[in-house]
This record gives sequence, structure tokens and C-alpha cells, in this order.
Amino acid sequence: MESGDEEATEKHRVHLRPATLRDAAPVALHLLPCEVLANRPAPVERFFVPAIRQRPAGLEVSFRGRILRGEEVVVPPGLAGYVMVMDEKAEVLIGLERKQELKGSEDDEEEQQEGPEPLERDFDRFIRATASFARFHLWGLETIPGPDAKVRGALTWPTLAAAVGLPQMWPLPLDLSNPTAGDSCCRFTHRCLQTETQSLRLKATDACTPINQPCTLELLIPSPQ
Amino acid sequence: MDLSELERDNTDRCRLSSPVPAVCRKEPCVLGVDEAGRGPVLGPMVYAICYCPLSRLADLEALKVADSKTLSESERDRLFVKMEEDKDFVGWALDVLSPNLISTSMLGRVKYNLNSLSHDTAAGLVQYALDQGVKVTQVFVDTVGLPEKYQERLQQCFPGIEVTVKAKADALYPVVSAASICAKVARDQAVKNWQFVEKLQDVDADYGSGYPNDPKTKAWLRKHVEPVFGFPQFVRFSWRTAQSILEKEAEGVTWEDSSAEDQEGLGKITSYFLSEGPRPRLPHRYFQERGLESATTL
Repeated sequence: MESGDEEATEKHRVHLRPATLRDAAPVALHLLPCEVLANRPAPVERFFVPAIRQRPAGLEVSFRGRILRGEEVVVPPGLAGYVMVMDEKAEVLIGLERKQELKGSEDDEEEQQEGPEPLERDFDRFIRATASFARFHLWGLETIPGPDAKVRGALTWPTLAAAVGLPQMWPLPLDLSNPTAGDSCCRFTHRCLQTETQSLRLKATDACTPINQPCTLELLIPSPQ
Repeated sequence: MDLSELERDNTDRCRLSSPVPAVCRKEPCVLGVDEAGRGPVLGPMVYAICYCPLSRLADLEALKVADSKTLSESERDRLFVKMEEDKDFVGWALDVLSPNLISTSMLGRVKYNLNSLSHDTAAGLVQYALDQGVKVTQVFVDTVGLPEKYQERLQQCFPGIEVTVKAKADALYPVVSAASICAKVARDQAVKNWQFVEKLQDVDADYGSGYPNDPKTKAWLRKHVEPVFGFPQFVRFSWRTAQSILEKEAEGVTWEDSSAEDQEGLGKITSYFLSEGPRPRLPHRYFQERGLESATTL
């Protein structure tokens, strides 16, 4: 799973379809303390959500016979959460054709921003928002993740980056570290899109996403104008 | 038997009991402990205690209670009704352990095996009777695991009570037989009226005996596998039968406490003498601590 990811790392330039951010409907998300080695829709609303219990110590549920304890995490002010999917190659081609046909449409702003650089079919990719979120459920194995949870730390990074004037430098020259067991659900990536928005990516397994939702959560940070 | 409390929430444990007969607070009582549904891969395990004054033991025997396994379902139901009619001197209490509680206990970071869970549940019920004011002087228990160790453990918990742990106690002592009937009636009813936590479409009600070696039970398990979530919570995930079906028919899951050996296998000893090649440069600790990495693709 990861090797494909890394291979692609070198090759793609990612563009956001900004119009999709406006239409993204709010969705409930669950970040699990495990990795499901599959990437496909899951019946979260039928199997997982009805099993959540409010106990004296907090929220409780079980997954595959193991107890999870959780809490709600609110996306910090100034950030917005989106569930993102990347378009297939074929759709990139359609995008290319559309761009040539439709001048002055919503895609126009992207083109202006990119300047003279033309799109390439094997290099450029488009991502779009399929849902949005302002909060999500964070689950820990047997214990509530609490204030030390990695994802909470990750959510503070964009604010720090902005405060020290880093957004222009994104992406930082960081190597992709090897995923370590168990850590995988708490690996987040930050990235620079070739648009006016910065984003922070939460990598989640499919079980964390609602039915028929793809598996990447994305926090988009509107850049300071 | 009124199990509505269990039906409201069957994800945890649920204690049910009869009112304490007044005579049991005054006279020395004998108390029996037994369980039903220990082996099945489906549904709850039910622990039961039944007690009566020593002076009325003959009356309990007169009901012709016997080991619940030798009785038909209708005979058990009839005997339970008779015990309810004798509520002026017979009391009982149950602890229903949901399959979810069993799974999460056995699959916890710190493993809590079924024997320990059983022993603690039994001790909990005896304590419950004492807390309610029942004058317990003798306890008879059908054994789980080695009777000597179990007896020692219970005797330590209740130094003032004469504890007897024996194999087949449910056939030897009428008060244990009565407890086994309470447990079995509750277990059967709980399974029959199981309220699935999940919103399932057309659940097959024909799951056989629930024992792992029953072909009908196995077929039911295979039919109700959900590739991501595994099974409904009606299933004990910690049973080998359930786990081997999941290994074959559901998606793999990696937990943060899955040991590295399980995932990668042991390294060869020679690997310590070989150069590892260039180490990947790790990101700054700030980013490692937050699980952040750079990416240029989704």
C-alpha cells in the first residue's frame, strides 16, 4: 500500500478543484487506533455508530472485539476539514480537455495562478473534496487518546507554521519516514498544493470513514491574503 | 424471566436478581454457583447463584431440580417457574456477560482469560448476595479449571464461609442444580431474543447450538462476516473459530500493540553484522512527535 504511495510521490503535481470545497456536505468521521489493510467503503453507520456507548468515563465502542475509548476533536479555528479524493487519470484528461474548451470558467483562476506551466497527463493530478467536517471522533485502544494524541499535536502545526511565516516554504524538505506499526493511523502529512490553499492531511483507514466515502481526510488552510 | 434490562444494552454486563426472601436474612443459607454458555462462540455467558436456608434444602430438593444439561428446555422453564413460586425461601441472582465483554476482556492489552473472568464473576455474585444481607454459610461451586485452585481462590475471598468447588457439582448439589437452571434459562432466553446492536439486514436466526464445532454455527459465522468490522457483537471475537474465519474472509487489521515479530518475523542474526546502507533521513523530532510527514500525493 505504501510503496505505491511513495512511488507516486515523485511524479505528481496536485491541483485542487476549488469548486468542490463549496459543495462538500458535513460528514461524521472516526479515526481508529489501528490500520485496516484495505481501502474500500465500509458500513460504519450500520456496524460502528450504533455500538457507541456513553459511559461514565467517556465514549466507548469496540472494533474487532477490542475496546476503544474516544473523544471528539474539534478542528481548530482557521482550519476547515475536508475528505479528499484524487481523480483518476482519465479524469485528468477530461480536465485537460475542459480547460482547453472552457475559458473563463472556475478553472480559470487555477490556470492564472499556475502561469504558463502546461498540464501533463502523467504528472498532474486533481483532488476534490467529497465531504467536509468541523469535528471528528478520535479513538484510542482501551484509553482515551487525550491531549497528548499525535493528531492533536498535528493540528497545532499549521498555526505555528503561519506564525513563523512558513507557509511559503511548504513543503518542508522532510523525508518520508517508514511507517511503523500502530503509528500508521496517526501519521499525518502536510503538503503544499499548487493552489492558494495549504493543507494538512490526516491519513485514515477506511473503517474510519462513512459509507461510500473514500479514505483521505484533508484539512485545508486558507492562506493569509 | 424478565431480561428487559439486558435487552436495553447488551454490550456490557448485566446483573439481575430475585428479591431476597426474608428468611434468608435470618437463617444460615446454602448457596450454589453455576454458569451457562461458557463454550459457545455466540451470545452471552450467564453466571447464576441460587440460595435457600439450610433448613429448607429438602424443600428445594423436592422440586426435583437436576443438572440443567439433563433437562429439556421446557422442563427447565417449568422448574424455574416453580422456583419463582417458592420465592419465600429461594433466591437467585444472575450476571450476564455479553459476548462483547468477553471479547474485549480476552483481547485486551492485558489478557484477561475466561477462567479468571469466570472466577471473578462467581466471587462477585457471592459478594452481591452477602451485600444484600443473605446469611451465606456454605457455598457450592461447579468448577471451571482446576477445582483445588478455584476453591483456594474463593476460600481466600470468603474466609468465613465453607466453600466447596467440585466437578459436576451441578449434578451433586441441588442448590447448584437450581443455579444451573437459572443460568441456562437466562442464557437461552437471551440468545433467542438477542437484540443486535448493529443494523443488520435479514439476520439468519438458524445458528445451531452456538458451539464452535457445530457445522450450522460455522456456516452462520461465515455468512455473517463483514470484511471491515468482522462480525456483529453477538459473536465472541476471541474464539479461535471466529478468528480463523476472520483471517480468511475479512480484511487484515494492524493494531498499535501488534508485536513487531508478528508482522516482520525475526531478523537473522547475521543482519547485525551487515551494513545497513544509507539510513533514511528522519524528519525533525517536532514532526515525528506529531506524526507529520511531507507528501506530494494523496
